[in-house]
Order: sequence, then C-alpha cells, then structure tokens
Amino acid sequence: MSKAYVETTVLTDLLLKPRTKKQARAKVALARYDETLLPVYAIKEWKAGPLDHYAWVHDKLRTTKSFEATLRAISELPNYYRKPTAMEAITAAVTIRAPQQTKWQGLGNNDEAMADSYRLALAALIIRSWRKRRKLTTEVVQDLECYVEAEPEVRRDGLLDLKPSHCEPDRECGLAAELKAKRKTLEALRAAIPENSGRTEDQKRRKALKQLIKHPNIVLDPETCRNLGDAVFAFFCPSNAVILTTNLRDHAPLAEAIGKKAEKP
Amino acid sequence: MSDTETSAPKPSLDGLLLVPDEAGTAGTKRSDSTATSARDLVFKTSGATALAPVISIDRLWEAAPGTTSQMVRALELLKEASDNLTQAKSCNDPRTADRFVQRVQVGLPRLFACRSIGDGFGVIVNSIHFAFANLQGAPLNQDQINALWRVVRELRNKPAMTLQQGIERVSQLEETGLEVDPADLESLVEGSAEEDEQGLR
Repeated sequence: MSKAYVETTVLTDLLLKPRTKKQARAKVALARYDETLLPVYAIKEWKAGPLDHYAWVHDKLRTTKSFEATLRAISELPNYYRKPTAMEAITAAVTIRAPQQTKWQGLGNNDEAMADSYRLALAALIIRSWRKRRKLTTEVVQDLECYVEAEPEVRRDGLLDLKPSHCEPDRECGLAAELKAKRKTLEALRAAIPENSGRTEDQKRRKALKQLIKHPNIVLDPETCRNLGDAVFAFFCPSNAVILTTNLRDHAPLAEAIGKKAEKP
Repeated sequence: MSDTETSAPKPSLDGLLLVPDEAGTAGTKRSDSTATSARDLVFKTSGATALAPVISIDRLWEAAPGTTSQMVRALELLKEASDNLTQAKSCNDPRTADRFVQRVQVGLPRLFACRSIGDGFGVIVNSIHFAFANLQGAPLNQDQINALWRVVRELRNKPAMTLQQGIERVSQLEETGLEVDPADLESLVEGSAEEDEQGLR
C-alpha cells in the first residue's frame, strides 16, 4: 500500500493555486497513492506562511483601494516573498498592465473596482481554502496539542485576522517528547545540512537540532519548533511513506539521511 | 410612509388578513420590479399577540419617486437575473437556456457597481463573474443553472448578507463544478507571471 506524507508546498498548491498546472499536478499526485497523510504541522506552516501572504495582499487591496498601488507594494517586498525570477515580471505588471487591460480578469472598469474584485476573490479563496484543508487527504495526522486551528476571521474593518498562526508560547511544543527521544535521528538530520551553508534557514535548522541534541532539557519553544521546519517532515514521516513536496532540494537530503524518501508531485 | 400602519385589515380567502396599501398614492414612477401591492403585507394572527407583518424585500427597499439608490438598483438587476435564470431553468433546449444565462452574465458589471451594499453581495457577484470567465463561453449545465438560480434568488431576498454568508453561497456554486476563483490570482499574489505556470486554459 503506497503512502504519501503531504508537505506544506503541496498543500499550498492544492489550496491556493486555483486553475494552475501546479494544482493539477498536486491533485494527480495525491491520486497516485492509496493513502495520503496530512500532518497538522503542514497546516500550521501553510497558515503562517503562504496563507498569511495572501491575507497581506487582501489587506493591501483593502487599505489602498487600488489595484495598481497593491501591485507596486508587492513589487517592493523583499525577494524572499516571491520567486527570484518574478522580479522583472512584477515590474512589468505594474508598468505595462493597466487594470483595464485584458490580462487581468477582474470585474470593474477602474482601479478601485479591480482592487475590490481581487480583494473579494482573495477573501473567498482564503476562507474556502481553510475549510477545505482537512478534506484533501485520506487522513489528517499528528494533531498538535500546542496549536489551535482557528479559522481566519474578517475583522469589522474588513481586514483579515489569521491569529493564531503560531503555537501557544507558554507551553512546550507538542512534538518535543518524540523528537528528544530519538537523538540519533536528530544527529543524522543535522549532519545532512551543510555546515557552511549560507542560507539563514539552514543555519537556524542546524541550531534548533543542536539544541535538541545537546540540551534536551531546554523547553522546545514555538520559535525553535518553527526553525526545525523541513526536518520535522523527515522526522515524522512514517517509514513506509514518502514525503510529497515540490521542494526536493531541501527535503530530499534530510529524508535520505534517515532512510526515507521525498518525491515531487 | 410606515410599514407598520395597519388600517382596516380585510380577510382574504386563505385566512390571512390583508392590509390595504396605505401608500396607495405613492407608487407613481416605481419600476415594475420594485413596485408593491397590498398583498405584500400580511398578518398571521390578530390582536395583542399579532405577528409583525411580513414585509417583502421590494417593499422594504421601496423606491421613492426619483431615487436611484444602489439597493433599489441592485434589486432591480437581481430580479432581472432571477427571471432570466428561471427561464433558463425551464428550457429544454440548451442553446435557448444559454441565451438566458448570457443575459445574466452581461449584467454582472452593473451588479458589481452596486457592491457597496456589502461584501457578501460583492463576493457572490464577483465569484459568478470568475465562474463565467473560467468557463470561457462553455454553457452551464442544469445543476449549475439551478444552483445559480437559487443563489441569485437568495441574494435578492437578502442582499446585505455578510461576507461569510456570501462565501457560503460561493461554496454552493463551487460544489456544482463551477470554478469561482480567478486563474490569475497567483500572478497577483506571488508576482510569478511565468507563462508555463499560468492557468490551464
């Protein structure tokens, strides 16, 4: 029986990329497996990351009441919020694509109407995607005692509230006991991350793993848990399942280090 | 004008009490779709325990002569859409049904112009627009026409619904296979306009 352990990138493609090839690929991939498992950790990462970014764009459309101003605001975000290749594309979007042009499909014949059209589309997608999150896979696994899955809310001022998007700060991570019980696995995972990596994400992950290995008595707080990131998927993926992710670059070495496998949709 | 004035109610054949239209002279220049009749006000009981009269949505937002409020305009347009969908529903011929549905589609920009009524209203009209855009001219099937007809009628009955209530109706449309999200949303949110990752059109 084939099993897939669904990672955050695939969850994002399934929920937030309507009518794209990415979504189609993710759907086809899920159908390949007899069982698909979605860990709540992926839901937590998805809400705090991609969904939060979508909500930011929604709020920007709300506050600027301008489609063009929102496009400019997105173009001014630091690169890590977007694909590096998108820099030129977004610049072109701002300068070339006036809202009235046919490239954008939104309703309305002026900038404010276009902003409203996409704001409403985003609100609908965000709320609906939240409600669908537990219906995509055959099973949702590894509930987190330290994390409350609360539906995004529309505030009275029309902005979105995604809180809580992180774990409760006053208690130890619900995964701590299981993580700390397998020191050798933690060591193998740490060894799989290049020591000289210049990526902040890698450095934080190595540090978090080191803390778990060397100082298991220190409480695993929400920030350290967050920094573990991809290592959590490798650690908790059942041995008879594969990690389904679009980010093989990060997940494959971690999975292979402990005898597991990661696959692309 | 008061909706609660109740002079000289008269019994009707179905046992309900009808109240004569106290604003009988105020109906001039009303459009057909928002005009009301005496039958719009009915009582289910009488005396001290009488229920409040049921007020139709047209009566509640009755157009005063010369007014063009967004609500009145929206109710007119929704009536038009609802009538077209009723016709489409009863058509045996798919092509004729689609002609009525197309009339609904072309009215969406005018409906969207009334979106200050509320985000529930806006999100439904907007999602219907994207559903049509994603169909790229393909006609709705019978289930989709039925769902659209139900949602439009509900919206006409409760135009000022909340965003959450509107999203519930959008989900109902989605359940019939309509794709209610814009295909270019990812391009907006992520600034990733790479052509190979664009929609499936």
